[in-house]
Amino acid sequence: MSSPLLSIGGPFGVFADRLLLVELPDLPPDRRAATVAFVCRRAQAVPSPLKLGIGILVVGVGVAQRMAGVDRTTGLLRSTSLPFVGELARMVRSLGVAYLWETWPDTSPSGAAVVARNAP
Amino acid sequence: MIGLTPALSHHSCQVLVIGSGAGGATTAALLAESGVDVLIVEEGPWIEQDSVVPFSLDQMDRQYRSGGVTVALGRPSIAYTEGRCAGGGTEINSGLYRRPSEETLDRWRTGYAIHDFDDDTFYAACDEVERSLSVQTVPGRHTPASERLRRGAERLGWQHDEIPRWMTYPDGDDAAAGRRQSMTRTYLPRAVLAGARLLCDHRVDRLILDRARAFRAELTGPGQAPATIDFEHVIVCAGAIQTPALLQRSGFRGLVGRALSVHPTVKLAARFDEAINVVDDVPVHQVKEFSPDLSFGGSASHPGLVALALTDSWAAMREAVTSWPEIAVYYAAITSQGRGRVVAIPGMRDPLVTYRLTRRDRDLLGQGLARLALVMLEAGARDVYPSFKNAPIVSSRADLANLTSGFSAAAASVMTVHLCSTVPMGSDSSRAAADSHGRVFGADNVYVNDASLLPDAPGVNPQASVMAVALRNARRFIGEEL
Repeated sequence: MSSPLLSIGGPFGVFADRLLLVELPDLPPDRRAATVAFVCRRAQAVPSPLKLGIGILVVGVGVAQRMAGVDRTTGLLRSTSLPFVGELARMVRSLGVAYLWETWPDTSPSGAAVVARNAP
Repeated sequence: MIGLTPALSHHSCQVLVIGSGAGGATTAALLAESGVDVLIVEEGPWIEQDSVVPFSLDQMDRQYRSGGVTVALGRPSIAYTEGRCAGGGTEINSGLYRRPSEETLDRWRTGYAIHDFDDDTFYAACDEVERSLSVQTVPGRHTPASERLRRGAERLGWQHDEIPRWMTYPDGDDAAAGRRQSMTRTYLPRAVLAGARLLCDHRVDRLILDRARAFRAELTGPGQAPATIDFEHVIVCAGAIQTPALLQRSGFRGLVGRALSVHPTVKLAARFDEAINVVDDVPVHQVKEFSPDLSFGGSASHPGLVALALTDSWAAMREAVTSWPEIAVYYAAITSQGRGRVVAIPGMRDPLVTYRLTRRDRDLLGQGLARLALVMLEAGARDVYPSFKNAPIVSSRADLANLTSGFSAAAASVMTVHLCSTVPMGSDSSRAAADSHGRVFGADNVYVNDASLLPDAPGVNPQASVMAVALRNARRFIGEEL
């Protein structure tokens, strides 16, 4: 069953969008939106106990986003080494870059659409 | 595509086989060829092998459970993958094949008091599997990434060899053009040709028992449509995570799901001076110098997976991602002393999976990663990018000390693809959850015949072990239970 917490417009999707914006500043908005959609789709599909755990964590993220702001919350989640909490940024980053470079292999390290190189 | 059985609200059969992977397909083929009325139920869809790019995200969407995002929780958590399609894990793995050693068989036989488990019979079953799956080495050239691994080991004087695969090579000597002899190409067509029925896209929710005898399975089909299957015997072959979860949902407890064993694996990306990346294949060489504790090999390396291998230290390593054609991903796998659990939680569709590494396991992962980095340097890598948080980029032997001192398993991306031992077999009921031939303790007609039965992870790719055990148990079932 689809969870609104893990939707594109929910706290998880907002966090994913902001994390990609910070770490891949030159990623075109349409590609960022497609990447966030992929990350959210995968998060919706994780096994149910894991989804429950992520859901609980994301409730807290939503509260923090409202109270401290999206930027500060994203910065905190990117830097924390707390068990499980720190996994949220790792999950978004892993899924995001895997999707991005499989879909557009010529993406630059900052997310720009094309990088000149010799193909194999 | 072979003919699939249409969805009905009720089916019946003599033997229900749940799962169509290495254990289930093998079991079903032997039973059907012996004249048994077999119905195979598979949770996932039938996907033609040529319709997906191996190791791609599209394949993960279509053939992996949960899109490939499955995790055994712990410190560190261990990412794992399960096939969820006709053919199960054989459709998505790298097709590498290795027999278990005599030492492993002896450890299983004596440690769990497994009856009728002699080496000769077991290896004869391996012979049979190898003929059926066309197990062979690459007839010609290897991929550049595989050659690099071989070269690195050779320069260090470390033992290495090529792992055979169940592949045919219709185009002669091109290693990247092999045709996988997975279950959808081998045992499943055999089973259906012999009269077995295959029902895809149906999940078995639970078995219904009358005292010690199971007689019905409750299923969910497409669109959440309920269905039932009545049977005389049931053989559960849903893999080392789903098999114990189904048994637990059906009321079995005891040792079911309590001893998950895996090969924890850490990775690195190695960058060379020339293009070596082959996006849809994996290296076939492995380094066995420290076997069985440690083994090194190559992983899938399409650009997304190269990027993924860099994410733990993304800020420091991301510049390398544009060089993905010159990069390949390699792994160090260990035999683990740790164990995990699979627990079905009432009201939840999926089980909770946990795994706990021992201190020795964590140390061994660090040693493995450092030694693998050394192999890569000897192989000519310009830079090596280990997959753990704040890892150093290794460009020379002098950097290896930084890698070793900075490594922490808790900060590493640990993963596995080999899941075993959640319903171990044997006559020692203090350690085993099923008897020596896979009958679950406490049941008259409920059997397991997949990786769950292996007493521990064998230290090599486990498909040979799974299939040989499945052949052995299926023959015994035909001879003595019907």
